[in-house]
Formats: sequence, C-alpha cells, structure tokens
Amino acid sequence: VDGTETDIDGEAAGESRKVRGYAEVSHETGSELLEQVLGQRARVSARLGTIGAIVAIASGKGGVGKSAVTANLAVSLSRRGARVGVLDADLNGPSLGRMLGLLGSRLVDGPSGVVPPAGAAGVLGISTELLLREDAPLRWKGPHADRFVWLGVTEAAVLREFLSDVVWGELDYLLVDIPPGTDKIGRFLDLVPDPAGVLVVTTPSEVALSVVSRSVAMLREAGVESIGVVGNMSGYASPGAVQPLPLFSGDGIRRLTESTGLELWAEIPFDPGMGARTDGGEPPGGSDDSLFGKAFQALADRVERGVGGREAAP
Amino acid sequence: MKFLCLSCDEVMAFAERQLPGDGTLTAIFTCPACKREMALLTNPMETQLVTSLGVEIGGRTVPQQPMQQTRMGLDSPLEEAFEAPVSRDLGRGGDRAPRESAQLRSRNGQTHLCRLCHGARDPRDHPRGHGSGA
Repeated sequence: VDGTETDIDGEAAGESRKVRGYAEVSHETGSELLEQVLGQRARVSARLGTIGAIVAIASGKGGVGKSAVTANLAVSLSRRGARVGVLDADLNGPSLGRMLGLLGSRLVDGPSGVVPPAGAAGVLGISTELLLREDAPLRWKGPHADRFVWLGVTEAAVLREFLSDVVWGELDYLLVDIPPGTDKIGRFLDLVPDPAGVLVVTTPSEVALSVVSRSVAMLREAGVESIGVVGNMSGYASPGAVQPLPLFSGDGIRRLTESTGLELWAEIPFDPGMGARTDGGEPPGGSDDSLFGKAFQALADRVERGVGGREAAP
Repeated sequence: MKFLCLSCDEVMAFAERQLPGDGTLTAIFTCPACKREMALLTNPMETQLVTSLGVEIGGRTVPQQPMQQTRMGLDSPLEEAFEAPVSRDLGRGGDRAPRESAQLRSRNGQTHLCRLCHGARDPRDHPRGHGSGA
C-alpha cells in the first residue's frame, strides 16, 4: 500500500477495483485519535517553551557514566547561577534521583502539572526512582502475553509525560539522561527533534568506541548540529594528583574524535572520592580544583559556549 | 485507523465505545450515507496498545490528570510519591512567555505536526528523520 489507490482482487480472476487509500480520505472519523496525539505533542512544545536549552547526555553504550556526568554537570551549571532541571530518561535503570539527592522528596500536584522536587545545588529532577517502591523493578500494568508489543509505546508515553506534565518553569538548561541503546536516542529525538546539543559520553575502551560511533552516526542522520564528546574515566585521579594515571589500555576517546571529526568537550578522570559523593547524592561537579573538578569546570564552560542556555536568557 | 464503506465510498464515523471490563474494547462505526454499522473488536493486548498511546477512541470524556499514564500504569508505585494538590506552581514561571530558542523549537515542531494534520505525506519523510509514529 503506497497511500494512494489500492488494488483489491475481485472475486473473478483478473478483476480488481480501486479503493481510496488512507491519505486520500478525511481524518474526520469522530474517533479523535489523531487529534489527541497532536494535542500531546502540542503540550510538550508548550511546556518546553520556557526552557533555554535542552541538552541530551547520551552514549548508546551502557556503563560509561552518563548519569554521573549528567548529575555533576547539572550541579556545575547550577552553581554558576543557571536554572537547571534534569530528566532521567533511563526509566528502567534510574539513578539520578539518588545522585541528585532527591530520594524521599515528593512530587507535588499543581494546577498545571506536577512540580518536581529540587535536589543538590537546587537542581530540579524527575525520575522513575521517585515513583517506584524501593527495590521494585519497573513493571507496567497490562496483559502479560506479548508484552513487547505495547511496552515500548508505554515507555515513550511516560517519557512524553516527563516532558509535558512536569512544571519545569523557566530553566536555562534541561539535561536529559538518555539510557543505553541507540533506539533510545531515537525515541528522545521523536519527542524533542531539535535539542540544543547532545553530549556523547564514551570511555577509552575500544568496545565503547564502536557502539558510540553508531550513536554519533544516528545523531548526524537526525540533523543534530551541536554534538560534543565527553571522555569519561579518561584516567585515574588519586587524591591530590596533578596528573591522572592510565585507567584503560584503549585509546577510544581520541579515535572517536578523529574518526567523527567531533570536538572533545571534556576529559573526566575517575576519582573514587568524587564518585562516592555523587552516588551519595552530593555530586561535587566543578566545586574545587581537583582534576575532577577542573574537568567539570571545563565542561560547564564548553556547554555554556556551545548550547547557549544562559546566553539565550532574556 | 479509518474505516471506509466500500459501497458508499464514505469514511465511517465513530459512534460508540464499549469497554466490557475484560481488557477488550468494542468500537462501533457507522457509514454516514447508508447507516451500515460495523464493530471494531480488540483483544486485551491490542487494547493495551491503544491505551499506551494515551488516547481514547471517541475522544476523552474527562481531562487527563498530569502524568496520568505514569501513575496509572506503574505496577509497583510508591504510594507517597505525590503530595496533595497545591493551588499554585511555586512561582516557577509556568505562565511566562516562551523564550526565543523555545519559540524556534516550537515552530519546528508545529511544522512537523502540520504535516501530520494534512496527512499529505508519511511523517517518516521528515528530512531529519524524526518519525512520530502517529
């Protein structure tokens, strides 16, 4: 079926008749399905109307530290005076509720939506971690048979509600932590076709390189113009160290920037102490002159220059 | 999804929705010309798929609660996740005029929506590759 007239086999051999295709008939069926879908999209656009820059933190690869980068970048930007919100799009493996110190906070029903709680450094956040009983896996009500048919649609709807039904208010930046899988990047771009920027997080690992390269290709196909590479765990930073020590044997960060032509926006060393603070709900961001802190200062500088959330503020 | 009465070449109009309560759904459509009726019957999985889209065949009879699908869909919700309603949004600028960058983003989105409204092309034909699946 190509959207135009359709051949339907008649009862007698060789006979056929022309039937109008989907695109040729009116949408006015009274079922109002399309109208409702369009209304959902309009609510997303309206809600995001007071946000200066939407920045996705993605990778495609799991375990590269996207959520930790998101939390520390959010805190860094907030401490510079920006108004920052964080959307944890990792519905099945949420961690930003904990990292931003939001656990135990409650969402508030307001007249125009759900007011998100404020966590570390005043960063607003929404995460399924705030909605689920502790240790409960994310499961959705519905028929168990053939769950795969509707599960993806349900999760996309939840992500849409996180965008449209949360009272983000006037923000300079909304950071969106995208879960692993290039399909999840596509799902985000369906809802937000024009993000101000996407930070692609990778590690020196050669395995990460191949996966992240696919994500970069997908982002470019989608027309995303501002893509920056964040090399996470680029080395090991012991307390007081002046230079990071090697952590991985691979050279994936450099090879990714060379093969894609993308700019390296920051290299972030692994610092066990900073990691523990992040896991404990107090991400330090760029609060000190440690190697870790300097890396996040540099990343916040680059984000401010690159995606213009605060520069766009009235 | 549309139904075309082949006898009359007319799009059949939605008439009635029935929810028997067993997870199935019945939607009745009528040809505006010859008044012939037909019923769309969905099994629980198909009904769930429609529900997951956040739509109701025939339109909504009551406004949707914010984050309704999330709240209603979670199998193990945290009971105390939400506080009682408040009369204001804590002064976070929800009524302010959209910023310039947001207006541009919104305009791009509206262009995308208009293509869907007119149904002239498949939304997946978007030059940047963003299909809506609607």
